[in-house]
Amino acid sequence: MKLTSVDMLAQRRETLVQRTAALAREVRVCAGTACVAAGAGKLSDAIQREAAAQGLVLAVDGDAADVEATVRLVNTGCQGLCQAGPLVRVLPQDAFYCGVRPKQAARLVSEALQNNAVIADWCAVSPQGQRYATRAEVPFYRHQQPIALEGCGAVAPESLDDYIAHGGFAALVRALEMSPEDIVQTVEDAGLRGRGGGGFSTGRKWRIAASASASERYVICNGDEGDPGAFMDCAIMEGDPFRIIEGMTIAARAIGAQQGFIYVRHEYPKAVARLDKAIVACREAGLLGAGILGAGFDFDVEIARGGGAFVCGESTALMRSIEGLVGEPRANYVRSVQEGLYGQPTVLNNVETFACVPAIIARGAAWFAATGTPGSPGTKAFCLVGKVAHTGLIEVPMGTTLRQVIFDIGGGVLDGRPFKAVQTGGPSGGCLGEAQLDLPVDFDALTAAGSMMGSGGMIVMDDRTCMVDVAHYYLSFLQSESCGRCVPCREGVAQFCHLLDTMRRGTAKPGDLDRAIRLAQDIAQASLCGLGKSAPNPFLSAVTHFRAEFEAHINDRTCSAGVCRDLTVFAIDAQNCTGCGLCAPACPADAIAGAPKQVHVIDAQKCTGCGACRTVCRDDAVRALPRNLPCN
Amino acid sequence: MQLVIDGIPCTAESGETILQVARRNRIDIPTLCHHDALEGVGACRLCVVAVRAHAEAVDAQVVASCMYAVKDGLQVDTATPEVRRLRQTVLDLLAARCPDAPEIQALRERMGGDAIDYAPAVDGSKCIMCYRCVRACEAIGCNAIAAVNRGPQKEIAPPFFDATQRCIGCGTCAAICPTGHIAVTETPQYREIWSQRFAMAQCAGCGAPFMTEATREHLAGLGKLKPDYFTHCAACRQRDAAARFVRVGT
Ligand SMILES: Cc1cc2nc3c(=O)[nH]c(=O)nc-3n(C[C@H](O)[C@H](O)[C@H](O)COP(=O)(O)O)c2cc1C
Ligand code: FES
Repeated sequence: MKLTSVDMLAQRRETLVQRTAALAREVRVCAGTACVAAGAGKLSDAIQREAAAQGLVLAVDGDAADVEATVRLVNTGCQGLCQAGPLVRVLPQDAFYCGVRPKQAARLVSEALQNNAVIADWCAVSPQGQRYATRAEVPFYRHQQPIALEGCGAVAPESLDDYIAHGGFAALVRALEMSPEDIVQTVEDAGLRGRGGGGFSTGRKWRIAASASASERYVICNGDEGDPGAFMDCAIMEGDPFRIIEGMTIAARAIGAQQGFIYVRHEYPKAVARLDKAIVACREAGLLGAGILGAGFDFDVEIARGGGAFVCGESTALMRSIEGLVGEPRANYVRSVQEGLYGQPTVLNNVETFACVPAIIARGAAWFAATGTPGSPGTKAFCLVGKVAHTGLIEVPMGTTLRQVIFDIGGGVLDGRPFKAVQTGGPSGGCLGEAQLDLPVDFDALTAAGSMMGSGGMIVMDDRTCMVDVAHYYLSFLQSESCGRCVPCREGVAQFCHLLDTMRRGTAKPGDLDRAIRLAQDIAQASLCGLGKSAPNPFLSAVTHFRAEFEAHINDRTCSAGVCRDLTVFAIDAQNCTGCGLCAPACPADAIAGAPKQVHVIDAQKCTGCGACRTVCRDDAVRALPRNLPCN
Repeated sequence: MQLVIDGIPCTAESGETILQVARRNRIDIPTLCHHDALEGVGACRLCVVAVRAHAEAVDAQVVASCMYAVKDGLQVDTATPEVRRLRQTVLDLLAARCPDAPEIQALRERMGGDAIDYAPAVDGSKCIMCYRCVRACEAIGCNAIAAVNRGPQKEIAPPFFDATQRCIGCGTCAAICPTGHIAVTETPQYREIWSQRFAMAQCAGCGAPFMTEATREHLAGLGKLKPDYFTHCAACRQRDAAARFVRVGT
């Protein structure tokens, strides 16, 4: 049904809200990538079969219109605690169950859905044995505050009706009542900064685009998400696609654009499919296209698919790619807000940035600015991964410390090992150590410490991580992702990888660290685009906070973490070894001998330093020792 | 508009690059990928300079002078210690990539800074990836070669590294290459370039080979040149023109 006026939208919402309110309960099954991999699809099917068998009528996903139903089942986007899926949340009790199997569907339907009970023995338990009756009590969620992720994990991603029932497009209605200037002012007053990495003021960006004289303007949503390990933007595109469209439409209204593009990498087929459906639904409903909500304002959105190169997330490369050219950065000094896509003023914002916009317009600048820090208002989504007890997708108020994120939300380092470093900002970011754990999540604080906010990857590392190896990992990633156009990035990063590799192998020479630092600074200064300018960050931040480790690799040829194979041999600590026999078969070099229940021994001559024995040992009996290389 | 380069006040038109203005004022900035006849790419970064927005500004920014459009009041320094160091690094890196390119070695010596010998590339060639050939080919309208691959594997090649209909064997790419990387074999009968052989057209006047048949077809297709351009070599056309002048003169 085409909504030709603001009133029609309001009526539609009213009808939908009444229908939803008539449903007694709602069960949300997470259909995010990790949960689906863990069997969420089968679980959802099983719940529907069980409900049918028990005579319970379910309204599934968008079809809240089914008035006979008493319970609603929603297959949502990512609910966050990816590691413990499939996740199930039952409302209104707010009961939260992890790792639910299809065979548990019968009990879920009979107890939770038919009888309104909280299934106590399924609830998450604290290390002290306390049961969490509601999701809000679970520490992973307790410290979070969703704004960009508000709808992700809550709404039915493919249903425009459900988005509207949750208050969707109310912000667009507000925006249509406001003057474009007021919209820009509100976003500027809210202090929203770009969530894609740089943290540029979104309001100011919109203002420049709005004031540039041009016949056409464009709005682009950057869904390229190239950081390895990050999936915030993917989660929003899959879990709440209408919010992005609403955010972009508000931006279009503010700057006077008629055409928008969502640039999505081709590794995200589900996001493309969801966005595609959402765009079609919006067009049919008169929320995209000519005369949106009968207000004489035209805007449409198209999906542009990227080839998956990291550099295509860079603004000028992305725009070239949309234009059908090779996705390489442009070397001009004109800002793309003024001369961007097809030479016209263009607002490019990240997925999460657009996802914040509807909330800001609906609830006001002051509401948004009340959360976070003065310099970085609002919240930030992160993908918490690596050696942390609870991995997943989170959103916290800016100003939350890294310690709170890692220990309170993430539950600390995996297996109780000592914390060593946290990497933020992806390949353009850096590593921070123990001493920086009390830093707040804030654009400027992280940059000042040598890392950066980036788009929101957060990788936790334990004491078995070598910082030289980590720097080498990121630099090799950047070496292969450099477009190769300019000399400092193409040749410099390659030389850099080589230097770091010599450190890992114990062949680096005294003075190489200073050479590496100088090269890093030169690459940062002379490179053509942001990729090269930020490429040395993973190394420079690691040197700032872990300099001694680099020096030990070069001068003493030791890797204290026991990661660099050429520098390490493993030995068994007789005090701890129980003779369990796990290590010997794990050794690919056949270097471990020992009878059952006897202390095992590693032949240092045969040991290749791979560390497989240490990984399997449950008694902390394997030690990394320096492999004393001959001096060179 | 007015700007200052190395303390020298210069007048410039809007749209000009720092490099253009500097060269007009006889201020030397070394370049590699820049070519006056081609659109800029900013690839080599040898032409970096430090700029400040106005005379009182403290913050300097390093930019590629071949791409940076001048602004009124701009303060440019073409040889700060930092700029010189960056150029040195660019040349050191290129020297490691292209150990056999004497042009790079010569420039490096001319720079006279503290050179660093980086690990030489195992598969080093003379190609410095300046894109001159690619841009020239594009300007001619053939687009027969392009940069392929990413990162250090990047190289210039015809599509699929194979013979291509688009190439007319004109040889402009080889002529414009600053290091002589693009191999050309010339015989009276044919020219070989990019592993493709092109038959030569002979001059109707002197019989010398003067362009490939494919080039002749391409240029004729443009329909912009006089007929004798396709039959006679440049020397013969000059001689004929001179002869006409002589006739007119007497
Ligand atoms: C090498 C490189 C990769 C980038 N990748 C992304 C990306 O994947 N997603 C993104 O939103 N921004 C990325 N950016 C930042 C964008 O260029 C741009 O600043 C951003 O999309 C602007 O949106 P924002 O202001 O909302 O953050 C990248 C930048 C560089 C230099
Ligand atoms: S001459 Fe300016 S970047 Fe090459």
